[in-house]
Amino acid sequence: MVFSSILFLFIFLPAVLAVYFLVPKSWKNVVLLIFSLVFYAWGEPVYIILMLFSAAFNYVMGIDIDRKRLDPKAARNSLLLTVLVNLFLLGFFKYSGFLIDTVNQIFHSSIPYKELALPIGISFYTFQTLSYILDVYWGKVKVQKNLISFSLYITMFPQLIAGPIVRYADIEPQLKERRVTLAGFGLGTEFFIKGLAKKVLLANNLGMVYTTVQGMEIGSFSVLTAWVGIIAYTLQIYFDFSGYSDMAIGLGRMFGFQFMKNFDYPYISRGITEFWRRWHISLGSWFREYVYIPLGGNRVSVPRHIFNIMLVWMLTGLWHGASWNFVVWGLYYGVLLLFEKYVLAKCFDRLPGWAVRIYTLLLIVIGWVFFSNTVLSDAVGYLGNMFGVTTGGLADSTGLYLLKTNLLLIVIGMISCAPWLYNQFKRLLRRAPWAAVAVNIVLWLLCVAYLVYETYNPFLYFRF
Amino acid sequence: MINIFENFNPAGTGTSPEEQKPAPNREGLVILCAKISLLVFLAVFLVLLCFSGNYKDKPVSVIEQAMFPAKGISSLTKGSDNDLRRCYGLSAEDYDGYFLYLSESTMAVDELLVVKLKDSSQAAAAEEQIEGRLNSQIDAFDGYGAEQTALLKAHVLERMGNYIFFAVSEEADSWKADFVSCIKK
Repeated sequence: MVFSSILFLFIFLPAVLAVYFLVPKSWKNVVLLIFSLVFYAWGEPVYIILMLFSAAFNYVMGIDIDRKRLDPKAARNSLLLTVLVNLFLLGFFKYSGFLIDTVNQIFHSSIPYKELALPIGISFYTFQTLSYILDVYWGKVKVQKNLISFSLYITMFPQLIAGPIVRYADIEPQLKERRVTLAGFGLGTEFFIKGLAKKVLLANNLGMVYTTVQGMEIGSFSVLTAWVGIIAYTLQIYFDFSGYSDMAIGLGRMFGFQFMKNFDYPYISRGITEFWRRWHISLGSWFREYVYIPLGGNRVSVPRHIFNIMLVWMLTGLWHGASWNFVVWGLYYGVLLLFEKYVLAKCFDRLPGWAVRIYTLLLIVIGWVFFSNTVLSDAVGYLGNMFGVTTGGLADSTGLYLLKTNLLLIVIGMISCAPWLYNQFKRLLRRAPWAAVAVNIVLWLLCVAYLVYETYNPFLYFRF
Repeated sequence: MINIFENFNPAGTGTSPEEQKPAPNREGLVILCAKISLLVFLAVFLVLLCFSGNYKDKPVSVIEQAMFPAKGISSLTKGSDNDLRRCYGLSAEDYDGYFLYLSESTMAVDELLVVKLKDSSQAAAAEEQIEGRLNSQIDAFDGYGAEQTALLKAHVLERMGNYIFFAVSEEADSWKADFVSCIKK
């Protein structure tokens, strides 16, 4: 089930809200857990078993590690087993096919394998369980002895399938005690509608533009068409992902949870380093905390630091999908970050802000070419197309048509990427609250109308 | 190497030494049993997942009936044995069943084909024929029908158990979802 569906908006959400607020406090976690399992089972009747296994296994292992605290060797062995089992499951479902394909290509072999569907959200919940287990081992959090609370942490439907990746340490007190206030609920609703509008009104429409361009023969369309396409994709992926995160944060708030911000206007960044502080913040913090710092972080020699950065970014790329284009995309950012740190950092201070922003945006857009084309040669071809290696010329009728028919959408998208529009909304909220409520109602009605009449509603995170 | 063991904190989160003492053997035994049971359960689950067919054996007429209400199918025309031969080079009698829906307009490329194989050895040849049809359609529209070409390239062609599912449509993904849910029920 996805948030941007009529089924979720008009049946599931009202049902879970009604039951949640009707039951006594001690039953609220149970209610959320049951509804979360229903939410997941709706699309994944088989893989719910896997998720329940993950919850049960990590629950038991957390207790096991904690009780072996006075025997470091035994605790270490338990940790190792837990990490290996979690990574094995992620690797088995997400990377085994990719690995066997690669081996087959290199050695011209034909090792057979069964293509299994990727369990939705496995990358998200595996990272959550690992954060819990490592924090228990490091003594940063208390072990969770309540199976319901722990299972709820793993399966909670608002953030289950597209994040943000919630660290156990951040949510532990809220699993025990949380308050839902009218203001908090209202804020949650506003966040949810904002996210829904980003996803349904902006991302879905922008997605159609890029799908049209992607359907064309690479190298045959004009430079203009290539740029319109990739700009539309750049906006689509932001509104899609940040929209989903906003919906998750909003839903969490309705139930009294406070999840961390996952996006902070990344396209206004001055530099790639800043971009990654603003884009998918929860994933960046996870890799920093659980991979980069244990590797030694930046308190090591320069060659080792370069290795650390490249490894972390290769893994970040792989996390997004089991395909070489994601590896290249990750390494691309590794190289850019190193280049910024060791070469460009001082230049940035001397350059005007707009120049740094244009530089950043250009590199981000080029990065999305690798992200959106799962075949590497297509990505390279598309890049060539963007910079003139094409038989389509600078501009053609298709490019002009795409630009003319989508210009308003792209401009609205660009404006919505910056904080200005939302700041205006907040100002309106302070001055005329009812007008702000009206804006939300209009957005909600537009989203519902769109969901009823339009069928193009892709979900970009199935592969994560 | 990633050193996750370095920051081990034997004091935990500040529980008293009394609380930190390993639990009595009985609790340790329960945890050990739970660990082993869970790992055995995982192994069995993965083996079953890999070696079991997930799809039911259903007549294509039942699948067709279940899928027909889906958006976009009713506006297509049901294809005959001749259409199956003309478009795909497939003979209806070679298979356990099929249903085919085609666009009436020559400018539209929407189509839906479900073929039930008699056995899995037919799969490769049938898929090849379908790919041949797809490529000829792409060749026909390439250059002047950007929307049609985009739809053709975004086709869905999958083999699921003894079925081959092929769809070209904006609704292809939702048809596929309907099809999958039908053969999994």
